[in-house]
Amino acid sequence: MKNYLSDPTFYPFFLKKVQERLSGTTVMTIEQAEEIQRSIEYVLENGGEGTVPVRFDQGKKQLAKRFDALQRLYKVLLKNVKTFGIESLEESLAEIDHFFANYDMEYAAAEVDHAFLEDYQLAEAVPLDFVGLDFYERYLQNLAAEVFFITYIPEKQIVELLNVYQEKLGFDYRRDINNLFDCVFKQFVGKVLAEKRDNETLMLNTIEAHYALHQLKTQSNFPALDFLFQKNTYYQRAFSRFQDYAHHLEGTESAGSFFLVTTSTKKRLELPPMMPADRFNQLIEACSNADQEEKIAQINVAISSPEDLEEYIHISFEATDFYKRLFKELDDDLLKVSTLFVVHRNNLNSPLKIVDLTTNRPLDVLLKDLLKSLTIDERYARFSDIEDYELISYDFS
Amino acid sequence: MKIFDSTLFNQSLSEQAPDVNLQINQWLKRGNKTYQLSLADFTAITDERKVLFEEHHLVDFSWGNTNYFASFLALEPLFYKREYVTHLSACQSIFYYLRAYHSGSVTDEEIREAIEARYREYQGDLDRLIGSFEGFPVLEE
Repeated sequence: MKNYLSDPTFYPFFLKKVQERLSGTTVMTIEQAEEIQRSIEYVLENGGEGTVPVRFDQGKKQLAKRFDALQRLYKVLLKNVKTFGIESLEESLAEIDHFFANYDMEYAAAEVDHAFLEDYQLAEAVPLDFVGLDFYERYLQNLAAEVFFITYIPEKQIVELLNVYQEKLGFDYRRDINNLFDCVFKQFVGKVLAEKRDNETLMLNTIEAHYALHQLKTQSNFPALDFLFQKNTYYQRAFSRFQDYAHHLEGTESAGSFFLVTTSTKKRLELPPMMPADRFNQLIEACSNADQEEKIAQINVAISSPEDLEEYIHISFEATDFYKRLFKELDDDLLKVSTLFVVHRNNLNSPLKIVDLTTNRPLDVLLKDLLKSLTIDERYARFSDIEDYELISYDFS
Repeated sequence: MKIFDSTLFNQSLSEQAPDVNLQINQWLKRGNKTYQLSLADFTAITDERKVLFEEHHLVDFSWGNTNYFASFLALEPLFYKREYVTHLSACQSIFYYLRAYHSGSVTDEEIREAIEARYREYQGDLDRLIGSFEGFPVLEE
């Protein structure tokens, strides 16, 4: 910054400008005088070389160019922005319009409307030392990065996210959300880190949230996000802030408050534990000499865990027809819990999707065959109530 | 950093000061006064002005307002220099008090004329003049 105290031509120029401003009085408050001084200094900083009046004119021309470019960006932004009814965002957008209508390069070039700062908060605030056009330029550039990211996400998913947000926090997101981008971006990142491939929702379940947070805390390279970081470093910085924040969290227990996690209305079903090895061996032995009917009866009595069922299929050498019959006559609860188990490990959103599986683990294949042997109506009749349940305390270790 | 620099402001304003001092002495002569303001007298007025600026948190970019009072007081029956300086200082002080009190819709001229009018009404009784503006700072239409 130039030192104006040592420039003897600055003060006469400043006094002349001030006097042009005054009418009916030669007195002004010190605040007004300071504002004008800041304004002139700001224009001069943008004015390159020359005498004070020359630099002032050049500075105004430079600022006018940037002002026009910024106004174009603002118009593009208005066309693309989706506010989702968030009041502070709508107010800030309207306030910027006020800036474009009133920016005064002669006397208030370095001003920032401070009421404006209290409205919509950016994920990355404009540095405090930014004044005048610099401030609005940075604000709009940041806002544009946020708005363009939001347009990339299907509207339906954002609405769902906002509704969950609202339910969780117990207030209206239209009034109380600080920053939309932050919420959406965090979920998006979580989804990428949890390697969740579906494109239906931004919501994570508890397990995915844990996994994503674990990744965030332990990994240092995230090639899956590079495509985003290359678009705009704003996204990279937003990500770094999440990472810093994640590092301050202890363990991954707080994953459910770090990410927005689906609050399920489903009934919870605990995964039955596997039976002890000796008990399992007894079953194998008992089955080895039994006929099909007896075997099925033994299995239905002894097995309650889908993992045991899968293990049994693995080590027994039966004809495919036997397994098909077994599944037709399988204990209702065991069938239910096995179905949930398969749904869960394959990340399906409905048991009916099992028919589309291409995996070749025994339970997957046999359940798929069972479903395929049924008509669509029969599938619904037998499996639709399973959708009301979810499996919990699934131990990945 | 970017705050209004009253040192430079005052310096730039004091460049006008010798002319102002000269002007006041001419008015005193025209008003048939036997005294003139010395540099020390004038400096005292200037210093008081600076204090008033700080007190009311404002700045005046010209000497016009003080000049106005110096000019009409030169025609008043003030026989001693000390009296003249005291009256000038009082008017100046009332002016900046009112200037800070009133918004931009009132002009300097309206304030100056109001002070002059009440000065005449109270026949130069400074206590009554000051008391009147403290009690009724609103200007008559």
